[in-house]
Amino acid sequence: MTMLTPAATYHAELRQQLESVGRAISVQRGLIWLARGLVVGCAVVFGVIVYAWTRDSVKTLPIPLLVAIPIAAALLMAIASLFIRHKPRELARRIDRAARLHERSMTAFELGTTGVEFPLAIAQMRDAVEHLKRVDLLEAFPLRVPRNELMAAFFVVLVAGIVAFSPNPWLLRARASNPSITIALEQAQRVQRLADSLPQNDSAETDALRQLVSKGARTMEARSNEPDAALNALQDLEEQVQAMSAGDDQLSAALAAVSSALAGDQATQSLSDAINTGDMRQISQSAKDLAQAMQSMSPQDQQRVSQVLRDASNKAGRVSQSLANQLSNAANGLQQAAAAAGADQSQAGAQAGDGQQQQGAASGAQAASDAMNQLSDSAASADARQRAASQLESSRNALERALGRTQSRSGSNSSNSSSNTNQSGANGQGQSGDQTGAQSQDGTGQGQNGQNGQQGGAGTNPNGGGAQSPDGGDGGDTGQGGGYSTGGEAQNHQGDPLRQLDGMFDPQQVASNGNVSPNESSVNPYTSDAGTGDAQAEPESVQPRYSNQPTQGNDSGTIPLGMRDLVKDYFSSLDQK
Amino acid sequence: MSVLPANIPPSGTPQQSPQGGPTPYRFIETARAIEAEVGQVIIGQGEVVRGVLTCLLAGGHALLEGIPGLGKTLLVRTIGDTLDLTFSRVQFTPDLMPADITGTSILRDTPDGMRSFEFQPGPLFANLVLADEVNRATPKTQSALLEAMQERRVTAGRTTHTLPEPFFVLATQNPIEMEGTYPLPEAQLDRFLFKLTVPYPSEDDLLRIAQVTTGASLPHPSRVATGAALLELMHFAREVPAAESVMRFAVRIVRRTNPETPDAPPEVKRFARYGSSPRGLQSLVLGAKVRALLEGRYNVAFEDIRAVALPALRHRIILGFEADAEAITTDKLIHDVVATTPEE
Repeated sequence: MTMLTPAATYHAELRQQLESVGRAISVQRGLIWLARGLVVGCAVVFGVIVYAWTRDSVKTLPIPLLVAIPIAAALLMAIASLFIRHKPRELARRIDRAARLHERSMTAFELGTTGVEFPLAIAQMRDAVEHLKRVDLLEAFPLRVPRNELMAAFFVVLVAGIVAFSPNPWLLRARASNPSITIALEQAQRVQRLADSLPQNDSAETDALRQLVSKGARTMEARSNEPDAALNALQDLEEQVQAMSAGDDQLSAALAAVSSALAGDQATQSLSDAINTGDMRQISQSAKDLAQAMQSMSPQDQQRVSQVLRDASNKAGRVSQSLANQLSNAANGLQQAAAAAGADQSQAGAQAGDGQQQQGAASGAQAASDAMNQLSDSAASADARQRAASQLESSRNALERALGRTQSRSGSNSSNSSSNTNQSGANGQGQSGDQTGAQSQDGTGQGQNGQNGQQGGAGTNPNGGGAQSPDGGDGGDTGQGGGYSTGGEAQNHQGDPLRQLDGMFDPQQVASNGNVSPNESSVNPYTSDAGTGDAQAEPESVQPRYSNQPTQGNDSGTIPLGMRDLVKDYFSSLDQK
Repeated sequence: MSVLPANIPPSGTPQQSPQGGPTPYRFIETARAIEAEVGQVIIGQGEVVRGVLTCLLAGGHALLEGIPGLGKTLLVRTIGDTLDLTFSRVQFTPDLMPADITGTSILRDTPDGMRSFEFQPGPLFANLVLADEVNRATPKTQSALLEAMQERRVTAGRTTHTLPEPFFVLATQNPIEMEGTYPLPEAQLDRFLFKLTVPYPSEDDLLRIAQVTTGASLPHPSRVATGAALLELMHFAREVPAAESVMRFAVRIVRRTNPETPDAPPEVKRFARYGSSPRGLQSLVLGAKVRALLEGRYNVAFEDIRAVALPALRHRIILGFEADAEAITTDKLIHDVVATTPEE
């Protein structure tokens, strides 16, 4: 065993004591760096807020992130500070100063390092070790609250809060000089209100739509200082919503096709009426009511309604297979319920209360009810999408007007009208209702433009493409030409509105030579085969379609108030014919 | 926050070092005994007494400056009484000749009838020499002290005579009544370890002086240390270790008293003509070592350097005319230097 010299022994003891000092200093420093990290994090948050403030997007900042940044910075710096190594000489100097040891530790450390052995040196080292042992490290290095750092953090947060909640004078000035910024912001808020108005937890489709619209609204709001960018965001959103609405026209057409079949029975009459109104919300409600009524129908009623639904299913099969399946399922369910109930009655005398038969009837009715509820959900989702599309288009038109872009983007909805709407939009002003009416009549869909909506009169036409439906369905397949505008007012309306509407909506068969122009659809979803000559669609199959569009326009507010009764009366008269 | 008392030796301090030499405890005991004995005669003036004692334990000479009647001479005499040392007093006057203090060779009859020169030692040949009113002697006589103070030997004729160990010169001078005086040259001032300024006593001290010195019996201090013990303590004091940073602090202070030093304070550059010599640094460190022991420590602290900076350096800085015009003293400059010198 190697005997250590007294000096070496004291030196080792001294180093041990200094390690304890190092740990105490680490804890103290960790606390300080925790506070400093907090300051740094707050400064970063302040910078983020100032950046967002200059862009008027403070509200879009996620609060959890703003809270997490200072905390993360504080923890990071505190942990990092624990890894800083202490030099023994520095530790000796610090403990000498903190505990007022009068350079005992420092001198002893140097003596130990040099390895001197004279008596006074050994006495000095022993003295230093004794004093170090008696030092209360918590007293020498107290865990004080780093007041300065906390005050700094507090002031940074305070200033950040003031900045966040104070208006940006530069932006206010910019808005004053550029009203389109305000309009962009208003439209963003309007889109957000639309998202909020969509029903929650109604169906997966509606939820997805609500999230999409809400996200788009936030994007628009974030870009509201750059109206062009906001418009682009709105257009993107509109396109996405339209993509989601791809099957809605097919559903509408299929519903229109089954309307007459449903009108044949009293039980389904209300659903037929609702389909005739074209209001998806009413359709949804009526379908739901019918589903509920199916639970309590007598076997005879079930048999009868089953037959009606089967006929409707057959008619719908030509347009929408999904609707046909839903109706067929409902019919089958009712049929099964009626059969089970009939068997139950026939066996009533022999085996009263046969549970299996009753259960079969109930399950059949339930299946029918479920099928109708599915139809109700589909209609509700379509209604939500229609409302969203209409609202988004309205917002886009408003924003485009604010930006001085008066052309309609109806071309994106109806391919055959895009070139024509640009023409009308390019005029920018002064197009009269007569002019538009004339364009509508040529069957090329020129009447559907947002500008005309502004100009009044012709703008009440919500279905520029619809006028062309009879000739083969071009444009009418989407049913949304953008030919209406919420901004449209009737004050510039010229001429007789009825005459213009007649010109636009009077169903006509347009001669066709069989060649499809680039902006025409070659497929008519309403008829099985358009053939090469005149349109072969039954008037009954297209009539609800016409009634549907103005009703939707009325509901969605896209037809000016003063014109709604006029439009409604007109199409009611068509129905009566 | 007081973590530990600074001036109490740590527990377990042995009375003897492993080699049987003095310990700080014994060092302190001796110093306190001397202070106590002197304190019976000298009322107040604790700082001056501590300063003189530090000079003795450091093996240096002290220059006491004060107006007449403050007890300078009495202080030195009392210290001489407490130590078992040979003591001599020389009253410096303008007609005092070098040989009067160093000694001279006289012609003496030998027993065999012959005559020969024999060296007759002067008053410098004592352990403790009181050079009273040293600035009243001519430079020629003052310079006779030079060799004695620095080399601790005297040369008379062709013979060099070694002075007894320990050898201390405690000189006094009067800052007023400068007519007919010869201010000490810088070379001689530099040989004093400390220059101590004797202040005017406080009211309480004056009262005690009146009570003690006008009574029927005067106190008589007893001897508490021998010359050999004093020599041992002197060697012990020189062994006190000092950390490098503390030594550097002392070096920085001395350097910053020099106006040519780049980092000297502006006051020094403006008012000082010359700063302290390396001998000043020696005085500073030695004085600090003794003070550390007297405070019960085995090592020199920054505090010790600061405490002895004034007496160790005040007579080594030569002021310029501008300082005289603005009544700037060396004490003021040293205060500035010490206050502005960083420890690290």
